[in-house]
Amino acid sequence: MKLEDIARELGLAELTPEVSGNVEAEIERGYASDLLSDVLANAPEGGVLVTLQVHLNVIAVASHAELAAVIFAGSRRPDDDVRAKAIAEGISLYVSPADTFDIVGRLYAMGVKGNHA
Amino acid sequence: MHDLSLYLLDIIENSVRAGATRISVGVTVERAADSLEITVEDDGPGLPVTPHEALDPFFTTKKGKKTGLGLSLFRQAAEAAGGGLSVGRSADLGGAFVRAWMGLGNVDRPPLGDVAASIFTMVATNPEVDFVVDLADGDKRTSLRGSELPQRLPALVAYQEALT
Repeated sequence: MKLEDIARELGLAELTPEVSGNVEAEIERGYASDLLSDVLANAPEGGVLVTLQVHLNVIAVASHAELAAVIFAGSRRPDDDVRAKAIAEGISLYVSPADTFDIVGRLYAMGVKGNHA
Repeated sequence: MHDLSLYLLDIIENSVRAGATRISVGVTVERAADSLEITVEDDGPGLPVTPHEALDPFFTTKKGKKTGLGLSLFRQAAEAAGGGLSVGRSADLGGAFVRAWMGLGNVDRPPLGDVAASIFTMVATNPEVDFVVDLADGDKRTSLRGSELPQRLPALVAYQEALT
């Protein structure tokens, strides 16, 4: 599933239109967690992260784990400096009013799976 | 890093890696003020950068790594638990100083974890470093040196158990 298709299907607001290379990326795996050391250890490379955290640390962890995109749940929006760093790192950011559970459920139904599916 | 002992281990490791020969670790609980504070200070060369840079998750002193997350994640955890984290120069030892504080009863405070194991591990694997550990729980205070830790481990474990 392409990132741009996921964004359209889920009605996500794109925060980083400057990161253009990613929208064509095929997303096959995802991870949901608010504990960033856990994300660092377990999130799948090239995948999407669903989280409540909007701290700059999210971008550092996403960069380290080589994630393609981060979806912020519950309408949480990161500050501008976080957005700028994501753009510099080539990570796409999205925001959704839905909670983590609903976002993940819809991603799963679209074929985006976790590490053990 | 689901508990505070792992963050503590990480910052003590920073001090050891920086070449410190004296490291002072403090865990202080003030129940009346709903406060938990963790400090680590050393006699090493001090922070190689400004405090602002040291807390930047994209900064690291380790070669070959792009991001340095230990302090940044600790700060985030402390802030989420109604506290914060500051770094600077140790007035007592002259090296680096890290202080994290948070609400003892805050629902987002990570559990203390096995602080005794973290301290014991660092003391046992770095015999050349002179460790001082200060524990306070209100008026109950315990201070011990690394060299006496094998004999006084029960005091450390008792402190930890009183808090968990």
